[in-house]
Amino acid sequence: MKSNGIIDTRRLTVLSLTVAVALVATFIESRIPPLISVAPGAKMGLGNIAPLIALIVLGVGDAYIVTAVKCLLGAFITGGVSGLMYSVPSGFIALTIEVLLFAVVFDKLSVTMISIIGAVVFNLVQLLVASLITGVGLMTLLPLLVVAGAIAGAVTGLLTYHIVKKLPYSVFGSSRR
Amino acid sequence: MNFERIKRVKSSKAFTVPDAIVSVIMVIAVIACALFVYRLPSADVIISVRGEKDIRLSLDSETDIELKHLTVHIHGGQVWVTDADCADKTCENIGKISGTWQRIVCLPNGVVISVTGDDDSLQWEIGR
Ligand SMILES: [Zn+2]
Repeated sequence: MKSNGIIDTRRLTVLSLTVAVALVATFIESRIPPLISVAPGAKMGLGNIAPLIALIVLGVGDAYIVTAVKCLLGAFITGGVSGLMYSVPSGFIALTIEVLLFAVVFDKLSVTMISIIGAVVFNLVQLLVASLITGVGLMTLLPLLVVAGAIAGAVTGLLTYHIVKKLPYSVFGSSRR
Repeated sequence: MNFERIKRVKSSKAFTVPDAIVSVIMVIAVIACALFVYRLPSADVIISVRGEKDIRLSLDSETDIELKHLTVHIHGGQVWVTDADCADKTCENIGKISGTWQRIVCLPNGVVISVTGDDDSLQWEIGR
């Protein structure tokens, strides 16, 4: 089927683009001092823009694919496989929360807010993992991480919202609208 | 492509009224959490006299304890000693202590005043 082939090509293109964006964000993030001083693999989560875009534009399954690829390639880029211990649980749990929020409360809650909640969850899971790994009570960092998550989530959420809003339907390959 | 969702996002707002409500709840939760978390490492002051008598008090207790040879003051999360009858006055000269790694020692009178805490992260960083 010809139309199917076109859609698949576009899907692959969008997938690749979102992963590329995530990797650039991950690289930029790796230049920023770590959020949790005792957990060098923990990140602020700017790379979470990729799963969010994939979730809106492509769908749930592709958002999980992007998250998995982002985690793997991110570990290669930052040269730390230990980063996977933080990025995998936090990335997948945060995405699951966003999937549920999109299914249940969108558009009462905006893309921005869903992204903020996802990012806060992302950071909370990282903190939990860091506490488990280091065996150190890190709860004093909790308020700081929630604030950092909210900022990262607002940035990625607003970016995602404006990207999806500004791009014409033709980019997404539809002639039906 | 998820056109139905793209369309819904395009027609949605960047920020909504329920967003504001959730934001306010989150801010209140963070402030409450911060107040709770940053109060938690409630340290104790342990005053040991000649290694036998241990007096344990909260660092927040805001009291003055008159011992035989000196007076211990605990105010504003700080501990210090005055009116010591020892010759060297080292205990007084140390000044005010507040951290888990600090202690006041009056050797001539055999008094050791230390501050204990539950701040694991702090100890961890110092342990490095
Ligand atoms: Zn003395």
